[in-house]
Amino acid sequence: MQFQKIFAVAIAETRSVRRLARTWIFSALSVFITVLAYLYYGVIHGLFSSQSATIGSAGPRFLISAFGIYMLGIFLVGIIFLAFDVRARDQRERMAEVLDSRPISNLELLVGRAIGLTFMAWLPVLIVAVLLQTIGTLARLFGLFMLEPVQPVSLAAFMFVDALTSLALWCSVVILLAVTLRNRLLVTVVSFVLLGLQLWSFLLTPLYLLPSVSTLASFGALASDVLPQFMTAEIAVQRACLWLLIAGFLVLAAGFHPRPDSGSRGRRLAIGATLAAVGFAGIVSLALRAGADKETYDRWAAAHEARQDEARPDLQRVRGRVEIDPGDRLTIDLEMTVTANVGENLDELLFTLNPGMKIESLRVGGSKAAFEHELGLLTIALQQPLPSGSMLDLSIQASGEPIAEFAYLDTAKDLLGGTTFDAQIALLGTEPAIFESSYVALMPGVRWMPRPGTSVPSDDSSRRPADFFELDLEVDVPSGWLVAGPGKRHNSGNSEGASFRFRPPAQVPDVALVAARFESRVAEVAGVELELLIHRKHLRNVEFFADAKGALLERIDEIFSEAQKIGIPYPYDGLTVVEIPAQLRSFGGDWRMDTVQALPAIMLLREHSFPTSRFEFPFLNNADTLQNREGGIAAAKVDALENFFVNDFSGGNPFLGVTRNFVLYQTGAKGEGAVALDYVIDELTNQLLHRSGGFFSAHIFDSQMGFIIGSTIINMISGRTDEIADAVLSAAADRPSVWDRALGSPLAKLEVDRDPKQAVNVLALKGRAIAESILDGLGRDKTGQLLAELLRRHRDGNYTAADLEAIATEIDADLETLVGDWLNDATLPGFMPSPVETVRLTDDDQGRPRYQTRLHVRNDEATHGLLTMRYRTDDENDDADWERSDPIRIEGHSSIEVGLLSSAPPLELWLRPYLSLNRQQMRLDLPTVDEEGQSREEPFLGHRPSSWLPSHGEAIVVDDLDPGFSVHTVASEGSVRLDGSDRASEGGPFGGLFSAETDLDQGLPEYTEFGPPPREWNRRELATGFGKYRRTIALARAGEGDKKAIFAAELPSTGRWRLEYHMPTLSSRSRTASGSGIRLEAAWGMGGSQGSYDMQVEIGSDAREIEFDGSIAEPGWNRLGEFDVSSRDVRVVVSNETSGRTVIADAIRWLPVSAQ
Amino acid sequence: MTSPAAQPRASDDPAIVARGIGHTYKGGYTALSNIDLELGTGLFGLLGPNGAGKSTFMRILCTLLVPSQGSAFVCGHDVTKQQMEVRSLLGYLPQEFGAWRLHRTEEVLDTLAQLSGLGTKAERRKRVAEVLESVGLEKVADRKVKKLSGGMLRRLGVAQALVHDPRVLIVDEPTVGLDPEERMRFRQLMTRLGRERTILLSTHIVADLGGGCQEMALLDSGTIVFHGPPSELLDRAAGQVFEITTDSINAEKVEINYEIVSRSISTAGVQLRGVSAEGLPAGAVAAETPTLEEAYIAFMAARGRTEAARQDDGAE
Repeated sequence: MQFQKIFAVAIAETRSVRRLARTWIFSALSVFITVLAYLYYGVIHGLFSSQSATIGSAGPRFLISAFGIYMLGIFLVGIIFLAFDVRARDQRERMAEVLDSRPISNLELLVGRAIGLTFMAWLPVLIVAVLLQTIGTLARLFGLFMLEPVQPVSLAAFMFVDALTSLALWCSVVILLAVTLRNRLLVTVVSFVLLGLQLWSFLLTPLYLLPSVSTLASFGALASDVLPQFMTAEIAVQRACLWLLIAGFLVLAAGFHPRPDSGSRGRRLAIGATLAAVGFAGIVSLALRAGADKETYDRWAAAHEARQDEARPDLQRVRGRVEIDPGDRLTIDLEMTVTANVGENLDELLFTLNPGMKIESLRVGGSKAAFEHELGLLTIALQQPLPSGSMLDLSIQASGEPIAEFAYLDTAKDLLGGTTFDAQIALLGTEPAIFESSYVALMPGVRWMPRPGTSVPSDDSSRRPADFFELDLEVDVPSGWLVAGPGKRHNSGNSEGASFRFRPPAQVPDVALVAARFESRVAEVAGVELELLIHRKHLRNVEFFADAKGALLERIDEIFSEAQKIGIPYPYDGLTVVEIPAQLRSFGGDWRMDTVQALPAIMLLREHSFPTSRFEFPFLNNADTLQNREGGIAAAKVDALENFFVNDFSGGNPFLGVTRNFVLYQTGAKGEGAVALDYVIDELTNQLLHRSGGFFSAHIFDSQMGFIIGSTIINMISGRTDEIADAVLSAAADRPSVWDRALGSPLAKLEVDRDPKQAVNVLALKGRAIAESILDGLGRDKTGQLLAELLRRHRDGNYTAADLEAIATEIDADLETLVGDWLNDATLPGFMPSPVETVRLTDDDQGRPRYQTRLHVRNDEATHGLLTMRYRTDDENDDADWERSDPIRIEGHSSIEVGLLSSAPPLELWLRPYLSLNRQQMRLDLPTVDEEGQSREEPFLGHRPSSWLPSHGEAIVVDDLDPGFSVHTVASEGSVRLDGSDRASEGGPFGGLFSAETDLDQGLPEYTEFGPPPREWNRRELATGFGKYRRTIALARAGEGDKKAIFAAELPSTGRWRLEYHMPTLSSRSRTASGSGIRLEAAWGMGGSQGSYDMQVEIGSDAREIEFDGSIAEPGWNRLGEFDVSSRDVRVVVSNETSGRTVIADAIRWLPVSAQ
Repeated sequence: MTSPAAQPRASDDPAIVARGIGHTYKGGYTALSNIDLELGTGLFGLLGPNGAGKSTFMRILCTLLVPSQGSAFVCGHDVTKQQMEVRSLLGYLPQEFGAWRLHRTEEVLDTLAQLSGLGTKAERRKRVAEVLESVGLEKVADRKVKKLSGGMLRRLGVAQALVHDPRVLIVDEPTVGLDPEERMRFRQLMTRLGRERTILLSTHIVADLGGGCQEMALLDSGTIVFHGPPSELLDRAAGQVFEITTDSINAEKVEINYEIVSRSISTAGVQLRGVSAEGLPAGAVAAETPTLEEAYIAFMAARGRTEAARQDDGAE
């Protein structure tokens, strides 16, 4: 091959292609879309990344593989239209014979063409790269709060590893087709079919195979400044195989080329086929290897599962040395002390140790011991059984490179077996541990040091309670490196590298070591050394918040001091917040896949969160206002930071993470219900120290994530909550199926392995409410006392539900009264409020008006429950204007009267149960108040027993949740089909993005607030709807009258009856009390205007049309007319035919006229 | 670097040798049979009616077609086995030449020069300028091919065939579409080039062979029916070419009964020149200096192939 000739053809090809209009169309389109995507992400990131640590992951710096895919897609199509006539073009232009008579081989000709075409297709990638880097650099130079250069290594990887290979491969395929098929239309059709197949297979290929078979190696890969990755060894091999394929296809094309040249056609075909086969075989072998690796992981998991119930030693103490030689070797030399748990005699010691570590020496009680280290299980033979409670010393020396994939063997979600549809979870990182030459993250889950027992279950305290132990560890790292470990890092001196010692004053349940060349910022608060270890490129935000350092430390000091005051002081001598690269997996294993960012005395900070988020925007042009607020800009920045972390639903909220150290990492629950106990205790600690909880579920990072994000946005903008984390919790957990499961079994019996995603949601839904009930019911001091006593008795050990109950009883904290048997009882109370009465009382001594508001509330269920009343009297509707009553307990099957006193009539009144069959808060209708008259009755504030019973009198009410309500679809003339259980919710125009898993709400699809109203009848929770406990309506989009909602009733008697129709309040409300959890309906999503309804009343066989105009209907009961009822069987049929946009079916009421 | 085309060759070796060349297309149509030719330096004309097999023969010589029978050599290289060597030695202008429409004239030449082995950029630039000048396209060097006239395109075809200074030049119907002035320039060019290289020029336009043609072959229905110098063909036509000046009525009769090559009208009446293998018309005299075209028609007429010859002639 003569490269000069290849080069000549390539140059000629680039000339031809670049002068084609279609090239410019494809180029302009791809450049435009990619730059647009970059700008879009840049603006979103600049404006909103300060709002939530999770939004920070949308940073344009790290997303080239995400938006570069658009460009590649366009040019993969483009290549078809550029290469499909690679031969025919010469013939059409009568150039073929001139070229053919040149002394150039077919291979040189085609290779030159392929190079020219690929280059032209790749050129826009280069242009985009230059453009993005220029825009980003300029933005940086001019100090813009948005846009920044793309991470250069990720950009280079995209350009050279991904784009170039993909384009060249596809180009060679199209050239081969063009040469063999020799028909442009046929080539186009076949190419599109192949492209479609490629996309289809890409989407359906299991993730573990993608790196082996995909042409887009870095698709979805998280770019990183901390650990930039150009190409892994596996990718390098795979790319080499792809280039062999490319070469093979081109040689094959040369063989099939009709032009005679000196080469032997047969030889070329053989060589081409061989090259392609070798490339293909290489890819297949990579795939097989990936499969074999996965099988290995499965074998590990099976081996650990098989022995998970074996007795394990209780680790008491670990001391020794860890030598980290990054990317090369980890050496551990540990002295461990274990005991046999009470009631257990150990014949052998079972540990888990990463299979990448090789044991060099193992001694038990000073003597060399026999052991077996296989499949990550370390079994140490004992010369004589270790009796219950006895202690034993071990010394273990091992070295090797820990295998990251050994971690989290019991992860509920098969991450590797999933497809790109489920790949959203990759946003949370994919590497369970990192042992690279520039960064080391030895996570506990990877079992880099021996841990008692099997590695599964990895996170289920009911089967494996936390094991706490003393730690004294010396860690050697290379010179210039810093390491984060449990507690304060002490220098211990080392001539060659750096040597540090970790000797936390309190025991730890886990040990993580994170090491790299970090920048360090240190401060001391309340005797605790706080350290921030961050990458040197990510100091921008450290500098931005430098002026708020004092205020921030004060805030942390407040938390530590508050904890100290409560009796649950921070237990360690240090706390390190350390930056981790985006690739590091931030969630653990087992059913819960809980965050692993919060570790004992360490908080991991994902680089796409705080380190790279943009905080400037909220502070732009706002300096004066912020300066004048209490605490000035410093306080504003601390608030911003707190807000940023509170809204992190990726598991990286350091406030919540650090809180785990106070209680959860000091003592752990055990036995039945331990999981729920741990959750509630942690939630209690959170609410106690931060006045807010958090929510993290790695399960929501799946194909349904679009739905969660959409619901979260709606929850935010409809004013249901101010906090993103709360909104996410509501979107994920406050759903009919979660409630159904929560009501189906008590928390202690929660089958966590059955639909773990729902199990997490149930835990969050009920756990938070339980914690709130306890905190509100006991008060802060008593709750603190409860936790302090729990720690005092069970620190470094485990406790049961009975232990907690006993402590509560001893300190006079009546949990039973507040939350009953919350662990073992799934039943809930159900509250029914009476109409509200408000009267003006005589003015007070200062002449100020007083208003008395009273209502009765009935708990119509056997289980007692708690509720609070919330109201506001101010039009401003600021958060601070909301008043809240103390928690009110109502016994089962009883009523109370609630009295509220205010200086103005309430404008809004809500009944907020903590956890009840009502599921949601209820907005109560308020009466018109006579401002002139003043009642002399005694003011009543609080609650007292009442004999009130809800009654509809003689009215017959059919609600949309009653058995008499049904929906039908007229399938054909004269027949109807019962709907409900087989219905799926519609996604509207955002169906692909926001489609939810079908969630049925008592037979009807759950209403989702995306896109247009549903075509089918959906059920929607609405505070102003009618209902015994739950206030819901059925809702359908205007249609042809084929969707019918039927309210059927059996009247007690014939005669004259009045029929009424209940309509909810449809007014829009933009905002309500933040943080209160109060849920307001918003007209947004209601589907717009109401119109005239198609309604019939059927009395026996007699059907009559009813006129009803929803647009002029009043909220509440609307009179439809009076009827002479000759048959007791009556039905009201409402179809989806309307002049408006939606039809609402809430409730009907029949009232005997004689009773009026 | 010396281009392969410029490699020295023993002057007495024939540049093109064809032995028993025959070709039958897939459909069974025999385009050539048993062609034997040896061509040395100079302009060699390949004459014949459309479909005679001229282009097939040339495409075989240019290695674009593998002959069904026989063998052919260009400068000693087998056209079926040493295609690259052959290609490096020849320049080819196909009957239909278009070039990449979106490329500039000089870009086309530069690319093809590079493909033919011309090494350095400077060398190519110089050579491209030379050939552009030699074909009179130097003023449109920067013009895109799609904007060239038909004549310019044809000249570009010649230029591309010459750009690498080939030892052998094969031009297939080179003057199709050229205006008379361009055809004349082309003939001059061919004559000049033929002094130092072998040129195989196929045409069905007898006049294109011009004075520079030293040897010619007449191909008909795939076989060589004449091979020799043009003078021999002229000699063979002696006595068969007549000229007559007559009135218009008689002229019509002559035109009906004889093959007329040219017709002109003067004050003396209608002047006709034609060929006749079986005696001259009454009043006609044998032409003293028949043209090559008249000799060709006379030759074909003698073979009963007057129509084929006339069709080609008429095409012009």
